Amino acid sequence: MEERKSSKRCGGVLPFIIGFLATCILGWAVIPGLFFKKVEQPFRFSHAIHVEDQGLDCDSCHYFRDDGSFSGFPTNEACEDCHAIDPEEAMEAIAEAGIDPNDYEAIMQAKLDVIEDSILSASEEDIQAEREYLVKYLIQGKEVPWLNYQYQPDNVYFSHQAHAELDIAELASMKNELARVVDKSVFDEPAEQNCNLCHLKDVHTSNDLPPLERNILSGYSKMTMKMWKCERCHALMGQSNACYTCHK
Amino acid sequence: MEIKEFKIKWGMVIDIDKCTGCGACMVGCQVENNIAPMTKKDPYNYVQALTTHRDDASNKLRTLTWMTVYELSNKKVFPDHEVAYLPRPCMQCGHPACVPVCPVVATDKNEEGGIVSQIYPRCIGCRYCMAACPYHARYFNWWDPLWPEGMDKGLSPNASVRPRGVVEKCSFCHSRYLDAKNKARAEGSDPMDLADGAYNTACAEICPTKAITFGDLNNPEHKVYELAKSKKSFRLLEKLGLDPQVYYMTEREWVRMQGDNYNGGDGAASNNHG
Repeated sequence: MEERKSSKRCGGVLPFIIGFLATCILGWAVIPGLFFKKVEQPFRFSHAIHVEDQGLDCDSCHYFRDDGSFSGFPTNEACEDCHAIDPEEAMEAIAEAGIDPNDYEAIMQAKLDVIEDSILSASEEDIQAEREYLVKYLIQGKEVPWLNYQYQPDNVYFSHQAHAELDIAELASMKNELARVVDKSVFDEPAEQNCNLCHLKDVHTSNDLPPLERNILSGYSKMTMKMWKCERCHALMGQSNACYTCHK
Repeated sequence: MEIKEFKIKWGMVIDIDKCTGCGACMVGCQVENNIAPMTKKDPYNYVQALTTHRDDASNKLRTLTWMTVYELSNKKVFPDHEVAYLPRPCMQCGHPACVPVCPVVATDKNEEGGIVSQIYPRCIGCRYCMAACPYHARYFNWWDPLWPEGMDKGLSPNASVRPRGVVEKCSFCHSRYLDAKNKARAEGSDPMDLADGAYNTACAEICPTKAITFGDLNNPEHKVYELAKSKKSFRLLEKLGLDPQVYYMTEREWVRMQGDNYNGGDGAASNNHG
């Protein structure tokens, strides 16, 4: 009898419901976020400046090679076509100024003529980003360690060429079936290129790249296409889901 | 049991009479598929004194050789003695013994082309498939792969590296198939109708005497189509009915008899590791 009384004093079923809801919120909304760490790209990069202002096409930097493989991120060699700077001359100027070539902050602050003269940007924010690229990577001869939002493990063989013919406008009729695989908003105003199906939406108009959300346990990006998504789309499109279609 | 049929059937025809046993196919395979050399000492094992050494390449039971060359002998005395060399990749059987025994579907034969797949992250290392395979074409990773310093820089992106505890086998250099299909798409041709030679394995490519020919066994425009039908052709352990996609050719009767594991009552036929 004593025990029953004490349970009534606690409010009966109400504390259980509150506890249950709190657990659900914690489990669905709070805890999953704790598994992801935001990592910034090596420096600020504006696609908008390159595409809209300078009139570059997507395939100026991200192109298919003759053998059907995809180039992915551009290398310094491609960037040098526009960002023309002589690394040797720049390193000599740094040595003459008595600056440690590994002290990037000091080099950027020194605003050496050889570097400043080759900067193409106009606004202060863009100039700083471009200077960072020139000092930290181009004159050092180091490739930019871009973070790949869609990085796949090395046992996955992904062919961009096999997906090149996909047309967003044609896929729009299947947008409900594809809802869990592709962001529905991609189909609202179908882009000419189909990159939006898997990559950051309309990245070519962005002035900055978002941080990569990296899973602290697995190391994978939050955006990485999961196997079930590949399989769902393959099944919907009548394509093979045999293991060796995508694995190596 | 029903044999899975595909429109494309990648296959190999190996002319034993042309094989000199040089082992180039084995080397080509190891480089293409990131098979680590066996090293006894592990420089990253800081408690080596407390642990056992890894196996080195002298332990043939634990060495990984997706493609291996066997030496055959007619066991006759001079001047009638003859040897032959038999390169042995995975047979990519039409009715593979390894597939139905896998409890986790880590290995399957379900892709156009008929290559038996092996998915390493899915493999649980039970080794049922190794027990089932009559060709001993499957290998277990007893140790984590370890490349001598600097050699890891030369790893191929065409094959994923396998950790300790999983089974691996020849895949007919499968990523070369995917590459060939990519190239065909880029050139606007049909990736399901590759020309002869557009997809070739590392072992066939490197073979100095061209003893290995690779292609689509179902495509009359591919060399292997005719070669596999030759009177000189046979398949290993054909009596088991696994329908291998690897054919061998020889004019020597005693080699053909050994290919079917013929034991003529006197124990004459036996294979030794090359």
